[in-house]
Amino acid sequence: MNQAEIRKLIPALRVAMTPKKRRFSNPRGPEGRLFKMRTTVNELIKNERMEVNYNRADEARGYAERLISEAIRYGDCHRPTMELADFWLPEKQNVHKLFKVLVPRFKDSEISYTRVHKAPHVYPSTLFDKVVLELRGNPFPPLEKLTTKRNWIHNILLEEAHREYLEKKYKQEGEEEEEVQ
Amino acid sequence: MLRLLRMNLYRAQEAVDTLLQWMIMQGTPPPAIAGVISTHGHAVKNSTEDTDKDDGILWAVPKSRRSRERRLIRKFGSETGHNKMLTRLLLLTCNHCGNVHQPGRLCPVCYSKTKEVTESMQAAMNSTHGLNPIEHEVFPIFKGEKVDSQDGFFQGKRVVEVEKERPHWFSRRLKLKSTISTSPSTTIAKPTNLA
Repeated sequence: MNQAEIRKLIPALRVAMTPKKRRFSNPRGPEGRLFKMRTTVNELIKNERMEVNYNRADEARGYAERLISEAIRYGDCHRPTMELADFWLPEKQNVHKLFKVLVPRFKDSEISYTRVHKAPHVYPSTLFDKVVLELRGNPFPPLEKLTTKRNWIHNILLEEAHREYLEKKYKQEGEEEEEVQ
Repeated sequence: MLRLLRMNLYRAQEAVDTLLQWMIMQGTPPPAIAGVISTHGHAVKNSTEDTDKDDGILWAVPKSRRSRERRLIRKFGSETGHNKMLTRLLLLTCNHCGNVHQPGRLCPVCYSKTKEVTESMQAAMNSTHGLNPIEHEVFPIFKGEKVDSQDGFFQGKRVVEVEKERPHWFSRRLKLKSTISTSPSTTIAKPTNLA
């Protein structure tokens, strides 16, 4: 029982993966399926943001996360990691990007490296669920804006009430001080 | 289900009543029911024309129970197909632009604007990098903006020139902290390149 647990040898992914098998049919079989997945991962590393079908994004995300985490863990002088990068990134300029840009960017990251937003349903193309898959820390405008609740009507009213109360209080205190003097 | 059973029971009772009546009156069963009655314990088929369709007492009843899923699909349509074509009634107002969007999804108007800018930035990035190895983060500058860079780099980032003008809602200074300076001598600088 002194054996290390195998699952602890591989760092866990920072995203939840669906255990369900996805049926991406391909004339080239499982190999063709991986090649299709590879184009998605490659484009994600290259363009940093893309709109894809939900299933493809969800599966490609896991591969991209694993690739980046391996690159961070082992660096570019590790043969298996470089072979992994060589398979997943057919455009070789992205291999440089992985080790020289993404590794420094995500080195101290505590959260996942990718993010998924649900894209709006635009009629009539509502057949497949579309999502926006992106790398964190990209230079593009943010998809989800920070929202403030300050302009909500009850917050405005509460703020005004608070201000009025303070004004009244200070006024009263001032009058009391004058009386004492 | 119970109603159906009761109906069937009622029908069976009726049939038995008729049968008994016939037997008492005539001594032989009626031709319609003769098919289901047998003297040897199993059904004997008559060769007459009218008994072909009268295979038993009960006709046209469901053979198996419809599952809850099938029943809901029959009532409301499938979740993946027909139901998606229906008008969306559950909508929220976007806090940013005021248009409607589905809960949990991006606002279509905000997203389309962001997508347009993103695509132009990606095109600029890809044309700048080409097939050369990508070794630096990018620093996008929009049309009409200028940065001090001799070799195409600014603050260690690769300068990428986007052909469009910077949209007013995507300010360059949004992500920068305002109190970043640590030098003792501070001078008031007028804001530049505020799109």
